[in-house]
Amino acid sequence: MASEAVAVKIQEGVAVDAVVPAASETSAQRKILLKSVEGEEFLVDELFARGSKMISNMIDDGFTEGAIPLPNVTAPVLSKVVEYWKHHVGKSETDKDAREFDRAFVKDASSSVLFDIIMAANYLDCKPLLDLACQAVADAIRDMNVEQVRGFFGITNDFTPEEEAAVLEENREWSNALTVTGNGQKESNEGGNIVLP
Amino acid sequence: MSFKSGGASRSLGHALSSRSSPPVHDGEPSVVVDDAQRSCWASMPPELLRDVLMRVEVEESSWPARKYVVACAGVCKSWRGVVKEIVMTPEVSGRLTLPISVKQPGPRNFPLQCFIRRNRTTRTYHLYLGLTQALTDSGKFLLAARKYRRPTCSEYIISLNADDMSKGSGTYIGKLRSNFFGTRFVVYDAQHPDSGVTISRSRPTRLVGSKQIAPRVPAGNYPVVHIAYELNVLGSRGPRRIQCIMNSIPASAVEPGGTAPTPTELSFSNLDSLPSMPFLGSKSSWTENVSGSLFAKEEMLVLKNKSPRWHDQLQCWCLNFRGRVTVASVKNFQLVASDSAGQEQDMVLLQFGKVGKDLFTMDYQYPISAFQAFGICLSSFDTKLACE
Repeated sequence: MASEAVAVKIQEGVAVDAVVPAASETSAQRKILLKSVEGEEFLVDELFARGSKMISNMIDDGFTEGAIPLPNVTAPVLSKVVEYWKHHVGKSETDKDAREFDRAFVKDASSSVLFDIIMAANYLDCKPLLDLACQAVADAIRDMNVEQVRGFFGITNDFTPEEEAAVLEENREWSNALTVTGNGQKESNEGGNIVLP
Repeated sequence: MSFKSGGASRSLGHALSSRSSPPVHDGEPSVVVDDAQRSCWASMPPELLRDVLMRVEVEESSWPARKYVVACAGVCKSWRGVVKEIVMTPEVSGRLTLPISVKQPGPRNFPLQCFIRRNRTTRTYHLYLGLTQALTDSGKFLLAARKYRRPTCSEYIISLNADDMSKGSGTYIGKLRSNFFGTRFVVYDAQHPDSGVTISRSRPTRLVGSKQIAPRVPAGNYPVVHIAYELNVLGSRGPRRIQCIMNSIPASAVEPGGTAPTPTELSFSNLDSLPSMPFLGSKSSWTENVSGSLFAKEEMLVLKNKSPRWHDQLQCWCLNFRGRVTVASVKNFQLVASDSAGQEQDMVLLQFGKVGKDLFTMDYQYPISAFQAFGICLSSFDTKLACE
């Protein structure tokens, strides 16, 4: 396997000359080159890259030369995904650092970035990340009313006027004519079995 | 993210583009969204949308939080389809979510516990789904009815609106009408029990939104239950006999593998605009008997009240209400399925009884719906048979 000198952009934005390792090196040291849709290249430890089932399968199928193209993922999103892998791959599920990372990860994410992460995690087949992002969205919309959900997702109302009227009735009356305290008056249980005196 | 004041734990921070704090409260204008956001979420694949909505549904499993699941169903057509798939019918999930669930059969193996509050002054009745184990502690409102006295009969208008039970109300969904003597009643459904039946998808793994066909049935008041009260052989000294013919439910529904009609979409209508339909179904499914009454060709489910047993020591008639009824009353009853040979099944499908001065419990299960159960219970209030 001939080695080539290529310029790669690492997370921190510093371009360095790196050598693509030969395939004969151990996987612990092996790095995989990923290319975002803009053509930016990310050199990632194989261990982390296998956080994506799709990439993992490609590696196993013998894809070792050059960069793996990811035409569905932009560079900013890919960089976030790689960050996620670094904090999760090889760690146990209950790892405290990983959970702390997750909390911060979704806390500072804008809704459009969350969307991008969902789509990327889905494409790359990285279930834990997909779960994390979907749960963050679910948590966001859980307590929203109809208008707020539409606003958050930028969804247009496509109901007919009749359907919209029914929806309004549903949300105004049905949903909100809610919890009522009974009068609490419980008479003594005469065996609970009586029909007629 | 929390849009309510005081919310803290789940927070997406202030990083939503083009938004700034303060948080939006319920009812305030919606979030400002830029065009990039607007287009991207609209293209989310259905299976991912389903994943997100399922998480919401699991979290908000009981009332009052369930209203947020209802909100998701009101966002747009595709969301509504996904939510309806996820929440499933009460028969399967044991939960009431969208309003149509009051017209769908209850759970198969256990009853949904509800209570009815009567207001003698306004002649209204309110049905609630019980939210706690206590008999009538707190509940989610389901249906309301108001009694109207007419020269030849009584009529109870049933509505989804707790406050508006007028005849012109847009939330009218059915009614109960009695005969002159208060011995026979008919429950009318403002929509056909099969309306909005969903056709099954041929590709179960792909979600393309519910496809619905509205069968070509005209809007009208359809008779769905015929109720008859009779004195038993002991006259007014014994418990009365109740028979309910469930016109919309086939007798096969309570047999293994049986099913009952399950409408999928509620249509609101105005009572004044609905004609009365003489019978359910097409003319060909009915036949006239010798006295000119109409009978459906396919056997309909018949319910009868479980006969109480005479308790010598207590000197009264007894039924086992399992603690759900605590006050003796002639109104109390349990209904079971009865076949053409008069054989009664064991499973109690509807139970109704008094627990307080104007408070009653109502427990119902498959194949009966909350709406039908409510109608039957209302007749128990009205019937003049036997003194209390």
